[in-house]
Amino acid sequence: MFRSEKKSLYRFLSIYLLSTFILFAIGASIFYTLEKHHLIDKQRQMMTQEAEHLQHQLIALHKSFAKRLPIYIDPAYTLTLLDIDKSPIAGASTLLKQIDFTKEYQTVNSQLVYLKSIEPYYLGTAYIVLHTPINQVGITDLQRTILLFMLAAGLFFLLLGLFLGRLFIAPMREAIETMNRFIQDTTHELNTPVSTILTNLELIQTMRKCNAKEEMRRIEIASKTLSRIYDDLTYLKLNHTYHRDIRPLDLSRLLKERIAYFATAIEAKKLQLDEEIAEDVVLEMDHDDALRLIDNLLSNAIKYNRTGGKLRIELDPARLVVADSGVGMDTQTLQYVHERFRRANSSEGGFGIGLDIVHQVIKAYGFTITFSSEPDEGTEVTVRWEK
Amino acid sequence: MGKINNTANRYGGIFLCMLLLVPGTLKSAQKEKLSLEQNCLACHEAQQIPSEMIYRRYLMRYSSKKTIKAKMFAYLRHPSVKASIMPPPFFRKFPIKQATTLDDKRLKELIEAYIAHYDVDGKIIILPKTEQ
Ligand code: HEC
Repeated sequence: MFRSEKKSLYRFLSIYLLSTFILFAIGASIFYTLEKHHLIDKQRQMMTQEAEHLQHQLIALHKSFAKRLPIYIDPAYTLTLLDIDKSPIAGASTLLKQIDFTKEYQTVNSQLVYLKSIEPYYLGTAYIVLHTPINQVGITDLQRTILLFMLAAGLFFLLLGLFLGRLFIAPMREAIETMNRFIQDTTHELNTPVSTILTNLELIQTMRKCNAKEEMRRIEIASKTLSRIYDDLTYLKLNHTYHRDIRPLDLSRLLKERIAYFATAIEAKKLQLDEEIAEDVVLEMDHDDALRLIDNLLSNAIKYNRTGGKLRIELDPARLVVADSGVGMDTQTLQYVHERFRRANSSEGGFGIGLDIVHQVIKAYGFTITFSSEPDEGTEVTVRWEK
Repeated sequence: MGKINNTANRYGGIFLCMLLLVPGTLKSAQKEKLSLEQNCLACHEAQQIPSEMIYRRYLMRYSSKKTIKAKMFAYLRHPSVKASIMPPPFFRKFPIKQATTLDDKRLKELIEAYIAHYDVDGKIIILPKTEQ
């Protein structure tokens, strides 16, 4: 799967799952409150019935003059009988002080309380107070059911989302694949003629004296540029599934090699080369990554330089500096470039392949890059690997 | 001269009080019962007044002990068919009682004892349904 494709899929999935989750959470909470109310209502109803029974018993007892007046109650409830002054006649609930006598139903200390006023006052009883613990078992059962449901729904929607996401992304995938195939085919076909030109140029230069020296050099530069573009393109193409072969790499040597490679171009532009390259700068790096990084920095510095300008190349164990004396950039452009490098998304493109590759390499190794530039003065690019 | 005498008197008084107090409290409950029996219940029993039933009517009408006390007090001072808790036909069977001659304090004590005698507070017992 491609990087941008994965990203789109994740975005889609997160938006999709988040919105379904919110919807379900709202639904579940409404269901929960309704069900909870229902459970509590059921308990209240049973309490109300019990109080009704108790009132009947009171009426019967009122006419009895026995020494003991037993009143029978479901053991789930705690009963207190109060007179009109709220003094207990029988039973004494510890909750009495907290009960609001203006309410029929209330919850005190997670106890459901039912207050029944009765008239006339059989046996002097003005209030029947019943209370019972809230049915926690029912409520935890309900919570568990809802949780399970949410989990199952979450799983279902995750799978559905994945399926839908892939379905949506399929056209994008096709487009990327087509483009890749196109680049692959084109670059492949470019390679043969470019290398033919280069080898034949070399042959001419070594075997025969040629009168059109200047023209020959231009052809050489142009074909080298073509060859580099070819390398860049292959690099970008490979990058998706690229396995870096990271090992100690002599950067000093590689840099010198590349400067030699660009020598014709430097000469052609009459650039004054100023190199300060420390020996034996070794980095743990993939050879191709280092090559693409150096090539792109150098070719940019040459391309945007003015004829007869300066090219400064510094390498020490902490950094690589490539500075030109070319057109430079104004602050706005500079800021834009910095911004683009910070926002780590090269898939947006727009840099030109060169800077895109620089960016990819820098990101992959966690290097930092800084640009300093003045219009018409030149640009200095510094890559640091030591933090 | 009074100083020594005074302290002696005071100690003597406290001592005497202690002597009297212990058996006194034990006896007072019995005495109360006795005087309730003599002052009120004896006559009621003789005339076969359904006192407990009448008290239940008080309970049912007023519920509040304070109100019951006040109402009884008022009735015993000035009995009348109108002020009675009982319906008028009751007085066809029973003569209306005489206003009491007891002093306020005594009467209040006796009413208190009378209510305690008939009250349901200790009688109602809450039992779980399984024992029914
Ligand atoms: C001399 C007899 C007699 C004595 C003593 C007596 N009663 Fe009565 N009592 C009656 C009679 C007769 C009735 C029923 C007629 C009536 O209610 O007036 C009655 C009724 C009552 C009633 C019902 C009142 C009502 O609303 O109808 C109360 C209460 C009562 N007595 C309390 C007392 C108390 C308390 C005492 C003691 C301090 C007492 N009685 C002493 C004769 C007596």
